[in-house]
Amino acid sequence: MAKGFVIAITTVLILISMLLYVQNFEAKQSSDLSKIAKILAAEKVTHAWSDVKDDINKAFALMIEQENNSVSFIDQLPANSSISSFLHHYGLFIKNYYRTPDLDVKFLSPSGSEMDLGNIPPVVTIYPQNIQYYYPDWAKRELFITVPPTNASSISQIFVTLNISNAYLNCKPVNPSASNNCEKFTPNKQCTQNTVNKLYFNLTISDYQGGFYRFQQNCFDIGGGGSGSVANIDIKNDTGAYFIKVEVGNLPQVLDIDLHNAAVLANATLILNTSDFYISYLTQLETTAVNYDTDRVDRA
Amino acid sequence: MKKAFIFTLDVLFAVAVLATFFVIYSSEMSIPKETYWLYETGNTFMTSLDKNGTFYQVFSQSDGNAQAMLSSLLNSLPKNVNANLTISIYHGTADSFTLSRKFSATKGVVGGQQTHIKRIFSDIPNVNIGLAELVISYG
Repeated sequence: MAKGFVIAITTVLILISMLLYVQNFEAKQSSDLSKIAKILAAEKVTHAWSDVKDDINKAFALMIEQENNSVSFIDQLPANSSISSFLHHYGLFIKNYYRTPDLDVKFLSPSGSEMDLGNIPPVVTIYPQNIQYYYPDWAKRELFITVPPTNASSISQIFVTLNISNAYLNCKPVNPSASNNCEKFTPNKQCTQNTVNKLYFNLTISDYQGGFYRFQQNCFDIGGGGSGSVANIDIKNDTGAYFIKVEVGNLPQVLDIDLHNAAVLANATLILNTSDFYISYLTQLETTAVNYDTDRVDRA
Repeated sequence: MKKAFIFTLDVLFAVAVLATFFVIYSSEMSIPKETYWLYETGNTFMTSLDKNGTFYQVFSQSDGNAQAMLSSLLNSLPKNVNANLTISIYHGTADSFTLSRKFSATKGVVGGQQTHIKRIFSDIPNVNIGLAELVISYG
């Protein structure tokens, strides 16, 4: 009798222990599954963000690099397709075909509100100096850099490199038989001792034939009204001769590059007088795992 | 006789409980890792094809070549997975899209626990947008 009782009690205790263990194990498994689901959600958010960002970057064909007190804009000019049409359709496609009930993708304005990708203005702004790098439209045939006159001293230097891919330099000394010099600013507002608004501007141009010219003079008076210092750089290809206009000043305009029919890879590096600034990019891309508290918002 | 019978029932009951315990243990223990591995496998596959421009090639390929490429791509997946890969090409017109081309290839029979992964890629000048969708499961 006593032996049976001990066996029964032992059996019950073993059973209870096993049930408790299974219950504990189930709870742990549930917790692990939840963690895995969150990790997967985070990975999906990151991969979706990267996936969409690649297409957007290709469309803009503009790369921005920031380091200490310098900002570089590496830009393909002009656009080789209708960027605005593509962006409009891409935004629609994301809404209608790419988003899922559990993965949301949004394009945000610099202020953080959702925006139609087709309505992105072609402007990048550097704050708090309010320096703007922009084009009149997404055709990207002309490039401007402006700064409010009150912040004129915030840009100390600009380095511009233009690599022409569809024409060659048709000016002296690169082409000795050309009629004009490469370096000819008209008007030519050089710095004097009394110049208040100075800009050190460095321009280098190369072409697809290996022609290369670096401009010598580099301190410009960018105040004073009227037109800025204008260089019309002669270039030529099979279809004819034309020129790239480079105008330095006058405030608020700091730089205007009008390509006319030239195609270039432009690198414009701005040296600021401080490293205390931030860049408001064309758009921000937000991807969100709807069922989890997981998202990624970053410049696209 | 009676005592032996009760003892046998106890043993049977204990064996049943143990068997249940081990079935639960062995089945659920592997779910998190398997789910994660399946996603990682599919994701690595899709990311590499997207980043190296393989999907983009479809824009310029003939239908026959695109279909053949899709089928061969699936062979690079591990042997223990089955998958279905679909590429749809849409063309943007005004405010809508038309499905201009679609290709699909399958490796094995996709079923049971599945993971869905997709990638978007674009032919910007022609306003063509491609969507590659992978459904992957264990074989």
